[in-house]
Amino acid sequence: MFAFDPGTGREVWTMHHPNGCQVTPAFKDGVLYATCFDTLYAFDALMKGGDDGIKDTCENGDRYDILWTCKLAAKTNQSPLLFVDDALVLNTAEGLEVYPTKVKDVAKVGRLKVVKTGGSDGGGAAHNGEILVAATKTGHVAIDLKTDKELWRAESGSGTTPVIDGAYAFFGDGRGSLWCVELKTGATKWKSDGGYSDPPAAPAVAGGVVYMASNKPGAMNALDATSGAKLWFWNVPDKTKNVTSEDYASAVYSAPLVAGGRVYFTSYTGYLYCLTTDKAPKERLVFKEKISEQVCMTVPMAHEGAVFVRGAGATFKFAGK
Amino acid sequence: MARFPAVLCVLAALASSAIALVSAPPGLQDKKPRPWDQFGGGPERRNASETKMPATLALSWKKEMGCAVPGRAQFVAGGGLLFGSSP
Repeated sequence: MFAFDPGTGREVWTMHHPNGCQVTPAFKDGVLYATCFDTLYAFDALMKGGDDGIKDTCENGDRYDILWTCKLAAKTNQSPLLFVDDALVLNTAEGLEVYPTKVKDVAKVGRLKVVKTGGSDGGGAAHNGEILVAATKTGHVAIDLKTDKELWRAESGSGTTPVIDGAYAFFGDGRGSLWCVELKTGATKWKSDGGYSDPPAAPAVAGGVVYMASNKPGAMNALDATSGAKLWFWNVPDKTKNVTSEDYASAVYSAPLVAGGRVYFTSYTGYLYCLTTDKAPKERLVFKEKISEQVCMTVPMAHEGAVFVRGAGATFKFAGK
Repeated sequence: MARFPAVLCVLAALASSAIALVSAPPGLQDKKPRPWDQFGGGPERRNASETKMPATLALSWKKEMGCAVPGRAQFVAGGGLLFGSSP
């Protein structure tokens, strides 16, 4: 885990974990939550001294401040963590593990509950604290967060992290099809043909348009969120030699980021691509930048008018000229 | 007669409140968090379409910072910092 100043890139604190950390952390009320292997960590995110006033410093030069740790019911490297009200929800192999956040030491209190979903695999998305859709090993499941009852289950196999937009949930299945289902009933509104990327390339929804990657060949696609009709697509023009199969030489496994009328994503080619979301532009590609000499699957992030993205071993900031 | 200006003031205040209510940006009318605001991080933040972005972007800085992470992992912002993870 690490923290850095977005203005300068200066690292503020770092903690190396022997098993690594692959999840996106979660921030709330000055505390950073992250799972590493089988443990949930709470960090004093801003290094303000925490409850004990102690900053941990290690022999390897790491400097951080852990407030508390708590063993998970099951190990996870999948979990985009999310908050529902004040509770922290993790999507692990045990199901939805729910932990309190407004206590000094969660290890002493323990988890609030585990909602069995059949073995979670991927992320989850919640809607107004009422319904949570989680990716599981066998399909996507919707849980009523007030009763913990299963509302519906889509036979979508091991799919992508879902996205909720309005009254609908969008997700990719393990066969490259994109689904749009009614959030409350699970009724399928539309389902695309295959050909899109499978996990971890989740869709993004913005302005009534669903953006979804393809991997063979690499492409970005825009679909009408209401009908599923394809609006446009753009094939990645570059190729990498870092893959054994030519089929995947331009693959996109990056979930897209939509910001400021542009869609950003990375590719196996090692480039960050920026496309305009205009319906019929003269040129779809706005710019591309090499960020990695290795295959790249990272997800760009927009923050205060800039785009941040990771390549192989380095982080890049792209901002206004 | 003295009550007349007071009534006018009340009417004016009500009218200005109504105008403010109508003209407030959608995000300010609804205090509930938008769906993607409920997440600590993760791909759900990919819809940043309401984020103001400059017309053109250029490389601002590049820092050696851990290994690249797989598709689902990205940064999360909080308290003026960005946070990330490395495998």
